[in-house]
Amino acid sequence: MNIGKINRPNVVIEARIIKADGTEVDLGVICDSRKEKDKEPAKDKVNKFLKGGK
Amino acid sequence: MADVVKIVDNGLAITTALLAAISAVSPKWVGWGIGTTEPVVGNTALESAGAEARTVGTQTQQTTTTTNDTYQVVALITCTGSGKAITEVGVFNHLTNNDLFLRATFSAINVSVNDSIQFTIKTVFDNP
Repeated sequence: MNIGKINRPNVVIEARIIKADGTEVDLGVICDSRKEKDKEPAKDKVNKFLKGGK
Repeated sequence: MADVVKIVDNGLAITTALLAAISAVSPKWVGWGIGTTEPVVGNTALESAGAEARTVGTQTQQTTTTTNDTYQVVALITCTGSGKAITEVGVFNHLTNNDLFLRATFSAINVSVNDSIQFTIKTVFDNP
């Protein structure tokens, strides 16, 4: 939802463990700021509805 | 623990300094730690940095949504001294100073001595 607000850049972090014996474990995405921001538009929509907006 | 990552206020200053050609130093030093308090934009350092020195990451441009909209740093940190549960990582504009660009917390990643974690950290500028 574009509300004219400029947000900070998003950050996605992936990680891989490399054990001392050379074996590797791919943890994939361990952090994703987009998941937090995805929740915001829904809250904004609800609040706007309760205040009588469209 | 919920994973949370934020570009901190100082990270915005680092970005505009680069754009304004005030600074030519880009945030590429990566450090880890065992702090668990979620990041806030006012953070200036890791909560509990590990004894291991920050490492210099490999910097590239990547594409997430729009061509070259992503700044990526890939860095490897190796555990020394004693095993630990890593719960935070930060990207800095300096090897040792607390010139923080971003900070993240996440579920513990347990490492023993001589184990390493390779972090791939993507800062995405186009978020439709």
